[in-house]
Amino acid sequence: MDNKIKVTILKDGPLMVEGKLDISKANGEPIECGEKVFLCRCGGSSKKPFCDGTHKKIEFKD
Amino acid sequence: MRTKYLSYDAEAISVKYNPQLCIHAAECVKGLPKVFNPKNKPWVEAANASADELISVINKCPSGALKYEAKDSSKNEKFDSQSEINLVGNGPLYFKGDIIIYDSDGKEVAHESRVALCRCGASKNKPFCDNSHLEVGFNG
Repeated sequence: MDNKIKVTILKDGPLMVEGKLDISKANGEPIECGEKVFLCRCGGSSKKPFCDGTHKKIEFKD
Repeated sequence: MRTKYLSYDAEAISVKYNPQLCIHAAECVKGLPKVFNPKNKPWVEAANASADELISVINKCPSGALKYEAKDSSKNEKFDSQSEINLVGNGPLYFKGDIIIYDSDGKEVAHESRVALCRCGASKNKPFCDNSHLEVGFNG
């Protein structure tokens, strides 16, 4: 029943996204993932759309 | 966080617009040019279409810059039971459905049906997209 998506804006870091996730690439292809993902928000990840910790290296600030 | 909605009123419906959130996806301009025309002042003429026409176009606005309040409250936007997240190439993340946004402390800051969140790191209106990805040439 609960199809809400919870998005937590982690300070100076990624988005923590929780729920029954249906994520698609720009070409419509689905992205396999579990019920909790961390999505890059700093633009620097080399595993986009996922966070790989690069925000710390580049000192991403909100 | 996203309070600045302007209101354009017709008899059956008020169109709400937040210029800070608009990223010019242009679904409105393409869908109902007789209502949404950036060359006009005001750029929204809500009386030029039926409430149903307006609702169907406003629901396509990916950033949530456009919302509406219908006089017939049964028509007001519901949170979709099916939520989806779409990556925009070299651009933001589009969220659609029933989206609750929390800050780092776990405090709920927004409950949205449509929202575009920054993915390039350069938005001046974080966590929302403000099209800065175009300026910085974001690739991802």
